[in-house]
Amino acid sequence: MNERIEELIIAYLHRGSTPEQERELFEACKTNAATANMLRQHLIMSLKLRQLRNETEVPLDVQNALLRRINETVIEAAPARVPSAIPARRGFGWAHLFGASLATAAAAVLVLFLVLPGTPSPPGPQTAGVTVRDTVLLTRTDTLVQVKSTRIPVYIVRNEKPAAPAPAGTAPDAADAPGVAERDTQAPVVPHVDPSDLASLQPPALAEARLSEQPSFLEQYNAMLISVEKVRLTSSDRVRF
Amino acid sequence: MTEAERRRLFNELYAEYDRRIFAYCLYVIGDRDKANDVFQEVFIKVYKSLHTIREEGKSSNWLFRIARNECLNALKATQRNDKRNTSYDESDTSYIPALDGTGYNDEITHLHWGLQQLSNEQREALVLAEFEGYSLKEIAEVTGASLSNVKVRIFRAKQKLYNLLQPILNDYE
Repeated sequence: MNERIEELIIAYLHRGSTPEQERELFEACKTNAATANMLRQHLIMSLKLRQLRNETEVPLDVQNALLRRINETVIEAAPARVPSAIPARRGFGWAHLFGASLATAAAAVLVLFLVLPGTPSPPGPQTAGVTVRDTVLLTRTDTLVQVKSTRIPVYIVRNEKPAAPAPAGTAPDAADAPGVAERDTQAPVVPHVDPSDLASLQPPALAEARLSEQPSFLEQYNAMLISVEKVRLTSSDRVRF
Repeated sequence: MTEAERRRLFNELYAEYDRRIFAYCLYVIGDRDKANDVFQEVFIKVYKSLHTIREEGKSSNWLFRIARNECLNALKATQRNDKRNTSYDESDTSYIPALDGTGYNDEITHLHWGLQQLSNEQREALVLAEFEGYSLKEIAEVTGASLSNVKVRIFRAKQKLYNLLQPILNDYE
């Protein structure tokens, strides 16, 4: 059987022959019994194989398994399409302050020092002999750039209007004092003490020295650079540490 | 492509090609359990890469290319090729599976057995041609073989199958 006849048979059975090739094959079958027999054999095998195709069904358990796996694939792929996963909540650390925005960091530092148990209260104004009602507040213009050291508590103190002098021997209730309503935080309220009373309790020299040492807020600011690199304050604010 | 679009397209492809792909996997691999696994792998891969279908009307070629790659990987893994290249004495009918009867199921079994005696390339070309009705040109595209090579593979596969089954074919004709 020459290759030409093989090619003609295959082309004829598998949609690859031209009308000329078909005529050539039929002529060959007429003149050569072996060619006709070969074509018959291939036709039989084609019919048998197509019969086999009809016997093929996808088993039900395979279909179910595939469906289950497809659904799993969808579920697995779903989180990957979320732009970014929310990180797990972690405990508070100082690193949070450095990564936070400036205002947030400043607020966090202040609030933290106020709520930490055992943290000493900021020195009250009475020790400096100043008749002010100090309330720890964070003003809008405060800017805390970077905390260098956290060992020294730093307070930004709003200097409010002096309270009216209380009657001697009595300390007005802090809640009733003017200006207290503006407190933004639940800072520890320092009982008001008249400076004159304070001065009378201290040696005159010390009291005088303290008064003379009462620095401007700029000096306090400079001192605070030990722990805070940059803080912007209003003229009415003071810094204590 | 949204998930809904992906699911809709997948359902369309599966409804049209599930039996054909399964038949291809089954007869190319020749092992029903492995074919079950490969069939699933094919459609998992299809689902994941639906966005790569570029041209309309070419989805069957794309699908069979995926199926072909999966089947070839499975065949490589099982090293079945060596067994199939064993030569048979076609005049000796003792190697044909002994069956109790000569009914319809026996014929199917013999055809299964006969297909497994072909080489991977011959069987693949034959399955695509006879089961899928692919033209010679389409088979050449899917398999990456030349047109003349595809013709030779199919011719020799059918000739060998006929010679193997000839002793029992008269019972079914």
